[in-house]
Amino acid sequence: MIKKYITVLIILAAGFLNAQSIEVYADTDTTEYVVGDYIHYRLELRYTNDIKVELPSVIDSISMLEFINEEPAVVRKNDNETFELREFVFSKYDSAEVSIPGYSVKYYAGNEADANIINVNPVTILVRTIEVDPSGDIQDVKAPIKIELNWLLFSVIALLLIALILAAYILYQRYKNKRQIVVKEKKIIKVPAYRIALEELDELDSKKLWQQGFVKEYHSELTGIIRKYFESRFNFPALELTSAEILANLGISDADEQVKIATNEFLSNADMVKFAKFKPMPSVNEEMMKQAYDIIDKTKQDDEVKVESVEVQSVQ
Amino acid sequence: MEITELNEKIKQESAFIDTLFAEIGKTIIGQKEMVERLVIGLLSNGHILLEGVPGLAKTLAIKTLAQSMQAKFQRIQFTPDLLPADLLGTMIYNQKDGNFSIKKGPIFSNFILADEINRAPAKVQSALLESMQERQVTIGSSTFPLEEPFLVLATQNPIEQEGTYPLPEAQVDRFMLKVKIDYPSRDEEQKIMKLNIGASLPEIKPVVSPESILNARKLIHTIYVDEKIEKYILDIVFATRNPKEFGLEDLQDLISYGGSPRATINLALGARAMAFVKRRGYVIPEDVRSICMDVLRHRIAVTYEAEAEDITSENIIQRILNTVEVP
Repeated sequence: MIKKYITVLIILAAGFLNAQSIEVYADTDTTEYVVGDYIHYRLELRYTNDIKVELPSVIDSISMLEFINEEPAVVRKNDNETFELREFVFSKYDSAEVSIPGYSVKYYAGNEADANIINVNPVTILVRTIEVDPSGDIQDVKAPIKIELNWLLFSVIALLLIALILAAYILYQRYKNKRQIVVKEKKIIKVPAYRIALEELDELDSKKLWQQGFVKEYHSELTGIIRKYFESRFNFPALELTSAEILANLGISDADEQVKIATNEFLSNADMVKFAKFKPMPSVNEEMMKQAYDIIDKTKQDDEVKVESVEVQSVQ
Repeated sequence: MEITELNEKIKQESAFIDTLFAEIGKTIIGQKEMVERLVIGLLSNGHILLEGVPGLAKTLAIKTLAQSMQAKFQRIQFTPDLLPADLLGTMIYNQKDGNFSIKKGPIFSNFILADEINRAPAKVQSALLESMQERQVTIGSSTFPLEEPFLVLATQNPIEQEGTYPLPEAQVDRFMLKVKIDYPSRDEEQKIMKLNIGASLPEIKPVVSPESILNARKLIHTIYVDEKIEKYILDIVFATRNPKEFGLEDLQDLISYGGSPRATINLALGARAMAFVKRRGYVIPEDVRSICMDVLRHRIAVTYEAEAEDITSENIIQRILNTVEVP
């Protein structure tokens, strides 16, 4: 009778133990890899629902491999049991036989405060290098990628281009037909430089600057008019040149010798007034004006009507 | 002083200039511009940076100038192992009396030729440039004023830049003028050849005293600079800074930085000295223009874009001079 009770108790205890079960299993997608390949390391856990599992850091536990990434965890639960799948991607860049060591997983059964431990099995893999034939030619690591020609896309682009060229041609023809070119010669009467200069001299004279005490201003304006006149008449930038440079430019122009001498005297006298506080006699001021008129008179060119530009007009 | 009176005084006092040029011309054939700039530097109390290939009579020119003035001349060859003490002087221990005595360096002369200044390291360059600026040298705890007149002519070789220490922009700015010299003309070179294959070079006699130069310097300060000339100088310098304002938009991206106020001062001083050399009591735009290139060429930095297009500071200055209106 006692034996019967003991047997029943053993059966009950075994049933109880069987009710709180946990299994762990680690594996890789294959056992042989080439250096640089992705090693998919899978950890499967199957445990009853009254068990709480505390996973260690798998990445830290597998330090001999280079961690690439971790796939999202797959957890399936039914009334009694939970199935958990963890997948980690590693790689290795050296050839070797690698033994991924086993490690411990803590779990708590029911309301137990103390943790139990279950060990994950070690996995051995072989990482080998690419075999190189030293007698062969140097080859690409990977063959060039061949992109398949998308005939449909190619045809659409070709058609669009043809349509665009046709449209441009039609538009150009329309524009060409509409456009009637009328060439007009625009005659511009260019006022000769000497006339402008003479007018300016007249104006300066009428201002009576030196008579009012503005001697320096008078000489500055006077030389300014002559320099501007030289610029138009002899085509050199007299306004940006010094007196000596103006005389040098005048020296190679068609101006006659008398004009060159007169200009030298004219500019030198004006420079004295402009830059040396020299106060000339009234007669000198008058003489300067006369000299200016004289220089213009001796270098002036006749009036002429010049065809300044040819205007092209389009009529719609 | 009335302008006619001043003009007359300048004419009289500057008479030695022609004599000086004539004396220097005994041994220096051609290179008129270099000699003129040397005198301008001397009269303006400025220093000169000379750039030219070897053999263009740079040393001979300054040596002749010193001889014609009965002044002390020293030539210092700048080398990578030169030390500031080699230039300025140092304290020497006297074993007999157990004291230190001061040994003055070659800088204590009227005319210094700092040959190939860019071959010496920065500390030596700084020592020279500081002395040039302050016109005094401190050895140990004693400060000594430099000789008067004091002119430094530093040379730079435009070729063979390897192993050189280019002068920093801030230090180049301390030179009043940067003069570029070129080969003499064929006729000039023939004269040089004839002169040098003779038994000896003509003897240079002292025709000017250092005191005359110091007096001339004082007189130069009285030379009249009209407001129009001042405005012209300012226009030129400001055009190097803001070319856009002077209708030179295309230069805006070519100039890294323009002339400093020191450029303005030196342009005015140089123009005054030029007027003195031309024996005039007043400055005309011609004086400003003739000295402008030498005053500004080392004070305008061009950008990488300009360098890539082979545009130099001289091209920029020329454009500015051709654009800024002359009063």
